[in-house]
Amino acid sequence: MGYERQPDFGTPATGSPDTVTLRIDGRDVTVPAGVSVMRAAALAGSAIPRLCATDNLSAFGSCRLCLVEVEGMKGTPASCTTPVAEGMVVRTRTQRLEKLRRGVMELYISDHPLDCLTCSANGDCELQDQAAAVGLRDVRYGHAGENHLGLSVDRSNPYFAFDPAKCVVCSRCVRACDEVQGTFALTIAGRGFASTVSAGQAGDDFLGSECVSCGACVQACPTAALQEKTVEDIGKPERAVVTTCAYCGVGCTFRAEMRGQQLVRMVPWKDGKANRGHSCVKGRFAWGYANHRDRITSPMIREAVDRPWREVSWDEALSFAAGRLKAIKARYGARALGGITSSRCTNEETFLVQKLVRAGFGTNNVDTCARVCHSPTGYGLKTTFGASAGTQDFDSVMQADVIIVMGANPTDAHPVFASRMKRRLRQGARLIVIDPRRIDLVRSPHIEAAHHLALQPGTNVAVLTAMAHVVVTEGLTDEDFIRERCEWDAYQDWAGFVSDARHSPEALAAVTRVPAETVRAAARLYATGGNSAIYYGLGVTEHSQGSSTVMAIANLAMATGNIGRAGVGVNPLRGQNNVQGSCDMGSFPHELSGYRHISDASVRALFEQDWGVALDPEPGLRIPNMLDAAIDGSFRAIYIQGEDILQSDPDTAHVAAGLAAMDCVIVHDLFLNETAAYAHVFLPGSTFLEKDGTFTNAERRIQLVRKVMEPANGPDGQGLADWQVTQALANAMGLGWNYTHPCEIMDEIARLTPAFAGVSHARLEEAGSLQWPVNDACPAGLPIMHAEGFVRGPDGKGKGRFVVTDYVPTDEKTGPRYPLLLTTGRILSQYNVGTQTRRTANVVWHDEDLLEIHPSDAENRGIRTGDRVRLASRKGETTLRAEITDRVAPGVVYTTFHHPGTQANVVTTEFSDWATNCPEYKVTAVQVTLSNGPTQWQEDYAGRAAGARRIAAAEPGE
Amino acid sequence: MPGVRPAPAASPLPNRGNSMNSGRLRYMADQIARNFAAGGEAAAIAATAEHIRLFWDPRMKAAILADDRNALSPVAAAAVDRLAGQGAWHGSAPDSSCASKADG
Ligand code: SF4
Ligand code: SF4
Ligand code: SF4
Ligand code: FES
Repeated sequence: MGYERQPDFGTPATGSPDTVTLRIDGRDVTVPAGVSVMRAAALAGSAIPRLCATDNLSAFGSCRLCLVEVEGMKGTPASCTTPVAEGMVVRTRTQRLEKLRRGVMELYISDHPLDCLTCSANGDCELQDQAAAVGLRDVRYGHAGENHLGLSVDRSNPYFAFDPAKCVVCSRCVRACDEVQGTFALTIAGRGFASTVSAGQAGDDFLGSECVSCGACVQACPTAALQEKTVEDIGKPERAVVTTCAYCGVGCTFRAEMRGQQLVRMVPWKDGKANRGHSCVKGRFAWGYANHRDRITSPMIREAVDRPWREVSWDEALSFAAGRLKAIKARYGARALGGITSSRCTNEETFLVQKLVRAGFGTNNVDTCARVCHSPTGYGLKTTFGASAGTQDFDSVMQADVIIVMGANPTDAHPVFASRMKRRLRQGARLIVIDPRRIDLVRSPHIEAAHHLALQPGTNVAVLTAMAHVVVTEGLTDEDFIRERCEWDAYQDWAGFVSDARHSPEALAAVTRVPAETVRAAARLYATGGNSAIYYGLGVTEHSQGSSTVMAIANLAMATGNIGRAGVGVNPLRGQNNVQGSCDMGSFPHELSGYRHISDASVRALFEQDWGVALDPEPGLRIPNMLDAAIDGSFRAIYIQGEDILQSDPDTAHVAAGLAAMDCVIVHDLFLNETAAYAHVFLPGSTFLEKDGTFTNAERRIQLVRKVMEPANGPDGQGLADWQVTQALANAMGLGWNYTHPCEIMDEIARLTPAFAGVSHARLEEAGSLQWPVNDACPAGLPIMHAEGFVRGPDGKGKGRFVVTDYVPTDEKTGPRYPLLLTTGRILSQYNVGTQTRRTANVVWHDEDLLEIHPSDAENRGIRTGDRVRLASRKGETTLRAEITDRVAPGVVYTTFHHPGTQANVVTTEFSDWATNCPEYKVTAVQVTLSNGPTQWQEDYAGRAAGARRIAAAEPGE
Repeated sequence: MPGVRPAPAASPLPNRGNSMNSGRLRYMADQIARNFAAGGEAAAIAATAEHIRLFWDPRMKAAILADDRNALSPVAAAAVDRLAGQGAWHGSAPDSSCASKADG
């Protein structure tokens, strides 16, 4: 397959179902109504020269290269800004036009360096193409006038450079930043020939500006003025493979553009239904970790965790691991074994790990890191709606009139979706933010939230109950919807409960600290503002009442009829790329794939027949329970694929003690992560670029991941993708698996899981992506759920259920010793515990975790920005540097958890969601004081980690 | 370099319990019961029992069944009693000599 840019039709599609027929250069063409003449011509296969137009931006009409003649219209209108009309007669190639175009082009070229042969964009430059298209042969103006040729190149961004000399001032970059990304970082400064693109204020460079390095401007640039540095370093790509980003739950699809085995750049794929051609800094640029020198490519073992690692062959590592697992099983029983599947790995890999645990180890002790993020979503939405998933596709946001963002920070954690949401907000949708912290969305260029409910951390249920109180007592419910689609008795119980005066905004303001009038106004807006949609994140789930909060959200949506059509819905924003998928695949200890309980004998029978083995009918241990049981001695071995529980799970000391108590810890990862300090076996992993499979994003969209290079964890051609490693471990235990490609695993998933019955790699290849359920009832998948009704119960026909959610305050309380509440989150440039992003140039934006503290709390303590402070809770303490900001309310402090040196989870507690044990990351009572150096834990940590990472020199006979 | 394994930090609140047999499970059972309390006592007992049946592993069930009921809130205690009456857990895993029976 050769390398070609994706086709560009010049101006955006309209999506109109109506068509218009016009005549272009003597040919009749029929196109969707409302498109431009330029797009119509491109659709008909005859491109009109253009420079300032590209099809992911609205037309601008500045370059005048795209002139056409239209019968009955005076002059030569620009085809990019002229809409088609029925019966229109257009000429795109006449002598007059050619002459005009050559004149325009000449002007551009006169201000452009003529070093095409040495330019890194040579052969991949629209300016070259268009000069050729208009037949430019000579340039009369010379290079005398005022221009940009002398300006220096801005290399401040680690991933792309801006060379003003090559800029043709088409302003595509400026418009991409405004329209697509919504950051408004760029302007055109100066006038006429002297005008140039400028990031931020005069004197700012890209790095110092508001730029978030999404890459939209680079993609939009027709020349080499804005270009990825890798193209300069490596050269032009030769082939492109479409694959799916492995960072967050948005699930952007990219063209991985390759030169040989080398990845040159990741370019967002315009046909990707999740991202529609956009990207963020992580997926677009932060893939360098794949070749980082810390990556471990050899299997390793050691007798005990205080010994150095020994590099061994795959066979030796696998038989060592299998031997220990079998011995532990023989001595302590199957329930002493367990595994953790990864939300970063593919559906196929996740499915295999849980199969290995259930069928091979003989226990249901399998869990996934979704335990610590979205397990309450599964529980809450299954209880109320009947399906453990978000109800909408991302496109739905473009039809929302009111948007609630609760406990989520989309511009940092789900940036590409946030850009869509911001576009809708700029079109006039109204925004309600429910979050203790003033996230960027509350106020950003051209966006202002109608209401920000800056609640006290831990009072989500109280706020939602107060909103429900307003909706019910002010008669704002959608009774027809409720009567038709929900259980009426349960609704009445719930309505009675929330109507109680105890639950009024006025009564609850004492605990929530949100003014009653704000709650009332927000509730009214949500109930009466048209299509209302709720988007939420981990600030909802990671609480002792996480599941209750999810159900309270569902109650509110049902009560106002905001379910079952475009523009509304309940939408969990998933953290990691495959959180949805890992949950779907049966990673939880109590359920098999498709959310079917393990105690259901008929479901079990299906699997038992297929797998030829009896399954334990009892639920297994969840991650926190596994650690508890390890300390008790009844849980002794664990296989962890692609997770770093020591860093990501709460109460680090407890996790460490649990891991230390086990006899066999098998870590399967790219790096010697923090958890690996307690491991006996290390199995090197493969990146998403090195394997085939599928991910399922936050909108239930299943998308293909395609192998673009050989796995690095073995000699060329002998490296193993993660699914192959799991299979090899299973076979070392005697299971005799023989999958030859992940598509066979997907066939097994489809065979055993009704919601996936119609999914196969071939179907995905053909459709691009599919949103489950995909089966006889919905052969093409289902973008919007519950359009006909809810799907509760075994028959999937049960009505929606209102659940009374009583506010129960967390037991984590502030007091004189710990007067502040700590809440945690993430930022744009880093991903989760940072194992990958810390190993990229993304550290220029975030090289340490900071503690945000309100000016009044800081002043009381004599703390200034940049001071090192001690952050202490009842569980432990750490130190980090402070940043004073009024983004957080007085009494609340905030930090991220991307860096192991900070170990924010040293201070988080073991409190967890009542229904799912999802840890309460978002509320910890703490004290903050000035400090003069790292804590003992931090100092010990560095030494311990280095010690635990020792790899013996490759001599025989260790 | 011996001793790279860190000792677990002592919990300043030891009575919260860190392991299966102690306060941890009691705390979990009480927390579940408390979140069902708004539905009334009878419903809360049933829901708590069902929740434990569906989500707790057998050793956790066995431990709470063997534990002192007086250490639990009344609803949680009644729920555990109900579970005991149902015999709702399987003591041991089925004998799965998977190696010989697995698909191939
Ligand atoms: S990289 Fe993105 S944010 Fe930065 S200037 Fe370009 S479009 Fe704007
Ligand atoms: S940098 Fe590129 S996209 Fe921006 S104005 Fe210059 S040529 Fe156009
Ligand atoms: S938004 Fe998420 S999926 Fe998209 S590029 Fe960024 S990290 Fe990847
Ligand atoms: S492409 Fe139409 S004016 Fe530039």
